Amino acid sequence: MVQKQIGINLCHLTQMSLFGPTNGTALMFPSLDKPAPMLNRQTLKRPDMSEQWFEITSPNITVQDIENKISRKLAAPNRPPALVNGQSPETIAASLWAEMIGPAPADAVESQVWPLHLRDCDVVPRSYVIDWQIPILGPLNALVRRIINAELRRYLLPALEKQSYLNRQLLRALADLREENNRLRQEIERLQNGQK
Amino acid sequence: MTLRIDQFHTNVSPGSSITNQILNLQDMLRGMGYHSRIVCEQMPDRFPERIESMAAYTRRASAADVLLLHFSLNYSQTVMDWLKALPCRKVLIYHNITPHAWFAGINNVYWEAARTGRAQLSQLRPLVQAGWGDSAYNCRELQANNWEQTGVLPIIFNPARVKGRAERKILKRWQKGVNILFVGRISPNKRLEDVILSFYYFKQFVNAEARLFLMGAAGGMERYLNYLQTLVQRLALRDVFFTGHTLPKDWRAYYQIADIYLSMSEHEGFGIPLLESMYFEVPIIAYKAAAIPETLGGSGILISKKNFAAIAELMGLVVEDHALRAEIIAGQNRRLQDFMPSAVKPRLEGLLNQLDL
Repeated sequence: MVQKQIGINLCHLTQMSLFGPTNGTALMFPSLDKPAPMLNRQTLKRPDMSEQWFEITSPNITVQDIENKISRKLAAPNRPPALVNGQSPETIAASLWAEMIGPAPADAVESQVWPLHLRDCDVVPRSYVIDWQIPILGPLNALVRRIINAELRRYLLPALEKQSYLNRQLLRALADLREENNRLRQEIERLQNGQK
Repeated sequence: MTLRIDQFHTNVSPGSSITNQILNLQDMLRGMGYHSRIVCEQMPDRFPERIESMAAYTRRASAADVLLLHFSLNYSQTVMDWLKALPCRKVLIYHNITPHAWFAGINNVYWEAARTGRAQLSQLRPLVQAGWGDSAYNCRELQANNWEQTGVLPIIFNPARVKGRAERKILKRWQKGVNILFVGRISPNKRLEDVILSFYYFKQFVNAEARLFLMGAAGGMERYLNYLQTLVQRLALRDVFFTGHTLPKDWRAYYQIADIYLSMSEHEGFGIPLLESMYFEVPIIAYKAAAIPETLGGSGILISKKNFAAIAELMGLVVEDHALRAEIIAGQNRRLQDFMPSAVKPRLEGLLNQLDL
């Protein structure tokens, strides 16, 4: 799917390129408030452990002894590297985040935009699972819940699907209008410059 | 005439941390001789003897009354308008709002609600007489929004609300072996991926048979939950259990089987599961962030750097070294006393005195 982006800047490009092809159209609305503090999501770089990295407040515990024990275990010559398919677990977690969630929250804050994507248009609840834990009454309970749920879905889903469709259409219309607005602004600017 | 000190929250639901605080405060206020009801925007079908609607409260509110406003996400415009029109004195109880940035890419509805809630902190200031926080950390956030009269009212830990039967099936199935526990909503600020990474190293280098229980609801956080579950698969990690929302008896059982409570959370306005871990005598290892050091108050183990291999080895020592474990639990037991009703009551009295009732 071709991604449509209006009012492109570097932050938006970063955001778009990480979201992947399934997200489709994204509209960015300027945020009105101050940015929140930067968040530290990246943990790829191992922290420096030369300084004290944990605290125990007790006169009966010597933190240095515990630190030494841990250091010896970590530095053991026979300790194998912790790799999964040649990658560290931290790298896997970070790359999976980029793949499934998108940019780190800090990036989203820095860009000061309110991202609205096609995936946000879908208001149909799809993740409801009926389960049970009680052995005898559980299946009966689950059956009743399944029937009620099916009835509710039969009643609600068509309306929610329609609403989702309308949301998608509105998002596209907004994207087109914003594009048109930008084009007209540029046109006015060009005409004003021509008159001077 | 007996003074009225009521409380407002958008809704109350059994088992929620804020509801427990509201119920405990109501009991305490009534014990101190005040009339006290809980006013709700969304009327629950529970606690009819304790609750009343906004409309009913509006009819009887007077300038002499006090309304404690519990604030943990954002208020609807209806509530904001209602508060402006009320003649009574108001005090905000700030439970903190997770900064909206944490929800970017996870849930835009939460993103917007959290952002709105923080903006409302400034709008609420002229409407209320004082702002109380569960922690000094929360009070500092109020002060950063130009709140002048602030005070700390800690979370009340009422053992009566925790006691009860634990699910025997869970105890029987998982009592043996090493169990790591984290309790809290499945939310990106809790950094559950860091708990999983620490557990990966623990399983790899310390105890291959260990289990990890992540206990908390994931409603609205399905994208994040999906990420965590995929991470567990990619790491080929066995014995990681997402329990979802649990019944009280299950909840008690998970605490009872836990050998370590591990928190990697980077934003907590208080951290109620820390108190629960203290109560169930589960040694706590927690990342030093937000209000967590304050809640622990020198008990448990605080981590200042996220080296997961080292954290896993530390967890191993806490499990194996019985003297170390006993010392940590003793410290936690002492700290828990600071949150018992008898310890919080004088603080509430002190804060009420500052209101010149």
